[in-house]
Amino acid sequence: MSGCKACIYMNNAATSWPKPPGVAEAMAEAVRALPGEAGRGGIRDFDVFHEVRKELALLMEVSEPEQIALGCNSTWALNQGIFGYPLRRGDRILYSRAEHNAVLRPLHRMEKQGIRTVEVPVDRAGRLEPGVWERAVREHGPKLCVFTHASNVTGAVNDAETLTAIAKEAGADVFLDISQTLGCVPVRLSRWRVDMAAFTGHKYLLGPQGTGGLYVRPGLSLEPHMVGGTGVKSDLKDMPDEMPLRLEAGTGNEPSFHGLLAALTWRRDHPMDKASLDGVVKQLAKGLMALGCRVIVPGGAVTPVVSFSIPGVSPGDAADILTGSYDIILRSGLHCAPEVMKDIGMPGGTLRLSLSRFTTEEEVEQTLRAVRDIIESGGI
Amino acid sequence: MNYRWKKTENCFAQARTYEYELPVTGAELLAYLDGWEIRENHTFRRPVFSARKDGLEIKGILAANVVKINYTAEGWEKEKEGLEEWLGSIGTEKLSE
Repeated sequence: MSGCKACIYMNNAATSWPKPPGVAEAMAEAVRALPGEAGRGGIRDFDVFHEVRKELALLMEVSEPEQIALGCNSTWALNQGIFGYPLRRGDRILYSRAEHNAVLRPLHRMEKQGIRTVEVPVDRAGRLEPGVWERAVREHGPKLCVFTHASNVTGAVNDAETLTAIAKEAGADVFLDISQTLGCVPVRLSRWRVDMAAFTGHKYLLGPQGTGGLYVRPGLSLEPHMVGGTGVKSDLKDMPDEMPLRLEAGTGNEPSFHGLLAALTWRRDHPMDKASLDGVVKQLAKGLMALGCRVIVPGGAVTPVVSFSIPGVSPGDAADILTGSYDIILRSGLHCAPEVMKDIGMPGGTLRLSLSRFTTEEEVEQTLRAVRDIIESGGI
Repeated sequence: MNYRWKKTENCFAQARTYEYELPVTGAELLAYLDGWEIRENHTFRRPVFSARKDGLEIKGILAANVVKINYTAEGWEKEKEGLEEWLGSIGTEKLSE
């Protein structure tokens, strides 16, 4: 844990830390080892990408590992899915106001290219309300619906099954952003009939940065957003039709996917006690409320995220003090999700503490004591 | 004094915040800030300070040698140029005595 021996790390919704045992070692070993053979390996060769796909398919509850294209992060996947989805000028895309800029910015570009985009407000907790969603779907008749499984700002988990069913009933395809949930709450893509899902390896999967990917349901063909070498079928002028090759141009990040595989294996052998983690999150939220902070408490299913503000102290100043004076690593501001701030009533942004299975009750108590110091002294 | 600087982004496009690594601590820097509105808070585990003048803000940990400077949105380039010129003109002899 170099560089942070005494720190309290509460920025897991951005990047998880620490990583499980074996992740760093797997990456180092992969760098030292002979590189893999990009789809050309023989029956006895270890294909890390294939092994990762198999683990991810189990986790996402899909039966076709080859439908998972691997790339560098969720942003890569969201770009592939949004720009590659077959749309015509005038088609509509529906999305929630709780989306990350990784969704909002591609959609903004689509709008400029003649695709109509329609935003749907979320509630004060950052959650999509099924009734509001259904009215919007009926009114606008979208071809594609994009929404996050959980708000990265508030932790509120959406009822993806119900929201997807509403969209499918109206004939829309669904693109689910599971960046904040995969590895933390159940994700059941086949059962929910999700068409595309974007994920990242460096959050609750506990893998390294630079890993992520896109699930595409069988039968849905995307136009690749990036084209290039695939190592095989090099005599074709176009990208191959079959998945995952179709979306995987260029050399993959083999060392990092070795790290992700180690993390996935460790996770499988060490299931997370979500109830216990929820208890620690509640302890934190209750403690902050008792101190007089304004805390977003979504209720229902949540990821381990607590967004709040300290009366009279800007989020930026408070974060500077918490990190500089107390070694508490957190995030302040808009969290790359500017639209949701209006709906949750915090236009200036929030302080966000995002926990992990490794966060202890003692770390929560220390954090509460630091916040109390700020409140009692009025900041800087 | 010699210093190094780096832009530190936040969530807002109009952010004009820079970090400066100085050869002196925040507490030592305060000695040079004549005419600034200075606040110190010693209740935190590592005490902090802020200094404000004409919309400009310097803040940091009193015992650390990295400070954060927020420039105002309008005319910030000139502000930055002026402040850096002033920083460069400060001698550190007094501190080494």
